[in-house]
Amino acid sequence: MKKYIINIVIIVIYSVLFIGLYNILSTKILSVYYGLTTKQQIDKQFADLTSQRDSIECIYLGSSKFYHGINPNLLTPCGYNFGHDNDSYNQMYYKLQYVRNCCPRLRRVVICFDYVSFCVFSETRNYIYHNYFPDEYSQDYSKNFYNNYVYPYLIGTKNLPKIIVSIFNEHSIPPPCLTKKGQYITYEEAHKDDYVKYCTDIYDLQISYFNKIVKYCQDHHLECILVGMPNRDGEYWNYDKDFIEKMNSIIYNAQKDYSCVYLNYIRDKELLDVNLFSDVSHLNQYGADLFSRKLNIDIKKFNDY
Amino acid sequence: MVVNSLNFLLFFVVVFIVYYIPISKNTPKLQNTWLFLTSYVFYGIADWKMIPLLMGTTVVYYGLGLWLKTEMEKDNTRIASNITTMAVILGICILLYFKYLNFFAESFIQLFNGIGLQVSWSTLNIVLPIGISFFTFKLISYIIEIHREHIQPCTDFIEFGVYIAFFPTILSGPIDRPNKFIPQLKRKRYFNFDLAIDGSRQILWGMFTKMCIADNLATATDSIWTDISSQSGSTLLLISFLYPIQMYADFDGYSNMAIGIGKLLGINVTKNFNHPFLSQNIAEYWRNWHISLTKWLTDYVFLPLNIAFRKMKKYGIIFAILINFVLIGLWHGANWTFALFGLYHGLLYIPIILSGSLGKKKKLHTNKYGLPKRKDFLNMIGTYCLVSLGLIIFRANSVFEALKYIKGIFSASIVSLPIIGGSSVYLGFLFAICLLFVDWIYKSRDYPMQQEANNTGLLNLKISDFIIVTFIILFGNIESKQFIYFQF
Repeated sequence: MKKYIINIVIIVIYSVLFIGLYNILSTKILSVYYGLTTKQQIDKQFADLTSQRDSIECIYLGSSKFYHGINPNLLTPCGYNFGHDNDSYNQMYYKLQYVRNCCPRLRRVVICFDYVSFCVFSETRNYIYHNYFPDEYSQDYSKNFYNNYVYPYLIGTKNLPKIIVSIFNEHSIPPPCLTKKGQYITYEEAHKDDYVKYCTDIYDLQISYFNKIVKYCQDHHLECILVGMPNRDGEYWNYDKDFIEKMNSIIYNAQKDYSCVYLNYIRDKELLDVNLFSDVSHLNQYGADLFSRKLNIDIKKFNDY
Repeated sequence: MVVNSLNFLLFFVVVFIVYYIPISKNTPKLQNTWLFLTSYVFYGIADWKMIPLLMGTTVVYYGLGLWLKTEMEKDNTRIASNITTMAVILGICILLYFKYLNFFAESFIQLFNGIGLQVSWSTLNIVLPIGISFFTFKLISYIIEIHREHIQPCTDFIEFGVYIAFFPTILSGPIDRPNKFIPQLKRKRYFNFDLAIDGSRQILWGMFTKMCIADNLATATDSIWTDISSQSGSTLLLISFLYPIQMYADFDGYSNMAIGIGKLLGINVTKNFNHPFLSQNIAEYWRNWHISLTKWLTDYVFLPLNIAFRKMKKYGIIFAILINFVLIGLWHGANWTFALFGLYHGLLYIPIILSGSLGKKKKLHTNKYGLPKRKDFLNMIGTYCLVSLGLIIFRANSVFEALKYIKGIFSASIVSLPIIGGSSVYLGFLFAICLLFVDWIYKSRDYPMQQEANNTGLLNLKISDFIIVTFIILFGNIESKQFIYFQF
């Protein structure tokens, strides 16, 4: 038995060392071609937000559509883009609490009203968010040791094909970058025929978190602005009439009950040009600047800061 | 709890350590009691509501076994036969109720409504117990084997309970036979280093085929099957050729893990696969694919039917084969696609039966490069194509969908390049090709990593062990996908 255990222990030690070393090396290689890792991005966002805490009056919370599509430098007051890929309303709620506790001058909250965010309940970044959010956040998720602690480290080992492609491919586009104001800029180009398929099953939990956010804003005297980001045909086709009616009722209730302002750019033709996008869903740098200017003008129309 | 998950690993570590704790009174009975308890815990984690069914059927068949033996000792052959018949019917009824009742009722209603007779039936809300097809077959074979005087009935309920609910095999097989399994429980199992290393390697190989091949291919096959109509003919054709390897890697992966776990516990579990894709015809394929199920049905269905139809000579064999294969198909689930899948394979036997080569095992011939000779190779390819076609019917949700898929293959776009995205698919494809080569090279082994025991030094690790571990880390799909045969 002892001999057997020694053999197993050697294999386990080899596996752990291999995973550890591989993760360190692969992160270094990939960051050259693909910029910061997800963990680095989130950690940097929290660090940057904290370092600017005394000047932040406005926060932008949303999914990747905001993360890519809002340039806070073009908005007044200049705030911080705290969106992230796959963020849905539960994450936005806890981010809002974090920002409110961190930034004493906060007075405006701009929330991305994204249909997808109601249909997502992502746990892939919980191993990072656990470090910043209260324990209450985790209670919505199953206490799965594998998902919370093992999976995040194993998933890093699945990027070998990406590394090989990176090394042997000629890189004509620079790696993405995360600005000091939290905007994530990528340099890919969208195509006319881009499309994406989404699951459109709505989580009641996300609706309740959405309502919690708008209520939180009202309770803490924060101005709440909801923004529907442009949806190209390749994404908008996912939603049928019933789904859109349900979304409209959510936004109607938020406006009625909590006096939120809703700015709807979902099918704004001016913002649906393929040249404004880096892929099917996300605005590119040019598109983000155009959109941010337009948003700034529209916000000013009803609220002169 | 998936066998290749972290939860199972933790569960098994506890089972393993306690199983071999050197208590002075560590008799086989203690080991069996521990296995019995942990098997029920394992089953309970998968589906605790069905524990009463598992326990109840185990108690009933245990009692029937003892009663049968008593009557046989008294030479009451008629009562003994009746007990056996009753036990078989009871097993079939359990399967019919839980697995097929709604299916047959709905099919009959459609039939009656089709001919103008209005019949109504409210579908019952029957939950399918996990592993029912596997443990019911074990229960039935236990009684038949006692009746055939191949085994003595278990006098120890715990022993019998372990045979039925043995946790590595209860959810997806292999279907162990009582004459091979139960005697192993009667003796004390000592830790055997060679067997443990062999078992660990087999588990590792099972994890590799499941995580690196089956799960990576599944990402492609699952997405293509959900949207058949928008796929090109060439894509559908490629997926139909990849699916058999995915099935094989998935189910053989599970079987290897179950056998490996058995070895770690000092118990030999029945082999389920023997390089099926090296088969030169369908009959040989079925002798090497899901061996425990095929052998079960051969022994308890085909052979009795063959005897009953012996006056019809070759046509009797054909008839028996067709019934046998429709049952093999339906064993997988309540759907006409499974029945059609079985019938399709039964029909493929007809030329083999008529040519008189049913029982003959074809020897593989190799050329000077160690590769199969052209004729053998073409036979293997032909068999693989026939299996691929059958698995389209198997994988489809309805006969209509299967026809749609086949029609889709033979569209004009069959000459285009297949469109399958994602690096995991290419990896799965690459490993799938490697798997077939490895199967050929190591065809004399139970699994490719099997090696001669070398119990001389402290370490017994080979370079291949580290390579496979590295492959699993780098290329294994870590989403903990369920095994395909879990649903049956």
